Amino acid sequence: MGTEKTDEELMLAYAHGDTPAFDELYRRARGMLYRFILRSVPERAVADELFQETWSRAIHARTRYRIEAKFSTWLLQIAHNLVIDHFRRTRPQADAQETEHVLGLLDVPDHERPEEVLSEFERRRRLQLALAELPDDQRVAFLLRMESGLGLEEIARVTGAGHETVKSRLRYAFAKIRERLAE
Amino acid sequence: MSDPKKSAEENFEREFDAFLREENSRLAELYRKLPHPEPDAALDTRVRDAARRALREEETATPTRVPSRKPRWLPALGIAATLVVAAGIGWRLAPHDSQSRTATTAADVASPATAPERNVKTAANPASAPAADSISASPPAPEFAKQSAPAPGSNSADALRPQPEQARADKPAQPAPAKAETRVAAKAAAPQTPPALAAQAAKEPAAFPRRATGLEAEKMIAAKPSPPAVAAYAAPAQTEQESARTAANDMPLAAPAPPPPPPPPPASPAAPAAAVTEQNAEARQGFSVAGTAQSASSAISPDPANPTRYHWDATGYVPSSAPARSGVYPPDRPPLATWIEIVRAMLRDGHRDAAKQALADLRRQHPDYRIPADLRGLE
Repeated sequence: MGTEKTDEELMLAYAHGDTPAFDELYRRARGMLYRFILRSVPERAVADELFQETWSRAIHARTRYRIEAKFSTWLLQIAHNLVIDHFRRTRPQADAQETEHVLGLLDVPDHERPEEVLSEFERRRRLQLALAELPDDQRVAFLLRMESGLGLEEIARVTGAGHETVKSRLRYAFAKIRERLAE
Repeated sequence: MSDPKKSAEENFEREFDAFLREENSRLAELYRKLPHPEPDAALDTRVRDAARRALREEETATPTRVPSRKPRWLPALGIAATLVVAAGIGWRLAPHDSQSRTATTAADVASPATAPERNVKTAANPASAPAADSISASPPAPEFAKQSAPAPGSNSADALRPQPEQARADKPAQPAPAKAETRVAAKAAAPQTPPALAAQAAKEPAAFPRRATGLEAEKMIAAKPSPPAVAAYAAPAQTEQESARTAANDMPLAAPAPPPPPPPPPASPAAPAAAVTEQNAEARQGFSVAGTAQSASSAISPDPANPTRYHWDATGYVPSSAPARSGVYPPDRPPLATWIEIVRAMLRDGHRDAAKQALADLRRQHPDYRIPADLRGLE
């Protein structure tokens, strides 16, 4: 267990031709990256496209990869740039109705739908709606914090914003979601 | 009114801090309960295939890229640099005799032109040393006739002739430079010398200042003082090949026990400046005529009247009718090879000052000549 390679070591191994290293790296990062993209870009087809493009860029940049930050941070930075480019190309964004429709398409395990959790389900739905209503920069910062577990510094690195700016975005996002859930 | 608002703000800040510290806040728990969509299998396959394809392309592209990255001019530059270095080393290691030969050959060509100067100086200064006068006053042709006359010889000439090996080594080297020198020497000597002299000068080897080999030097030294050599000198001259052939046989017999060297005389006085100038000119001429005979034989013997002076005889080069040249040094400047042997004889006989003077005289006459290693200490 102690000999398990880190994400960064796996990436370097893949850069030197180790295909199984990439498989392991992909297994670890695929869910986190996919959810970050899907919750940033509610359209699943677009999310799939951006997800694949993110990995494609990581693959082609393998020889230039250096361990200067966590691999997840580097990967999310690629994805974030693609998401921002997508935002710029597709404004105006989808409205709340479309967002609710997309969220409805997301699979929810059946065991999470007993009667007693209906209220919980409602709360999750409200959270999802609140995320969709957030401005892009606030939503991205919130997703990077909650989905990827990044700290303020890492979010600042991914988004290219300042430390205080990131903290402010997170504060606004947290306040809006909290307000939405309190309704 | 302000307390509930303040408490709400405090509550918000507390929850926000918990959110930032990644504690199990209510919001974090709720978020984790959201659906966890993942890419489908087809998307996974496409990504993994892309990763494998990228590695394959890299493997196949690498062998073709590597040669193209190498600059093609690099091997050519390396070869050129190697050739330059090799040529430089070869030039540095080339025997310097060829350089001195070339230099002295040029001196040969230039020396006939100095003869008129010598004559003029001699005429203007008849009060020079008697020996110098006797030589310098004579016009070139009579002098050459004197040289060409069968001098009272020395059979040590045979001993001093090159060994068969040397003759073989010299022969092939003669024709090539001799062509150019023949023309130059003949042209230079024509106004002053009879045809026989020009012919002899033309037949002399070009590589005059070749240093005497150790074997030659030993022969010269061994043969120098032997009186029988003088008697044998009158024998009909042999051709160069014949003498070379017989030299090896004659050598052991040509050197009976030499007489003890005369006691060292006092240091010889330096020649007057005018005499030196004339001697220089004389030496140049002798250098061009007979002194360049690389394979010419010579005999050295001390003058009984003055042990610091040496009789020297230099036989001519082929043919057998070639004149021999002789004199007494100082002041008669012998051919260069004989001159060197005279210096050695002076050293051997204990006349170190005379040897120094002779070597300095030689150096003045032939500044490009490389003094043999055994005599460099005298300079």
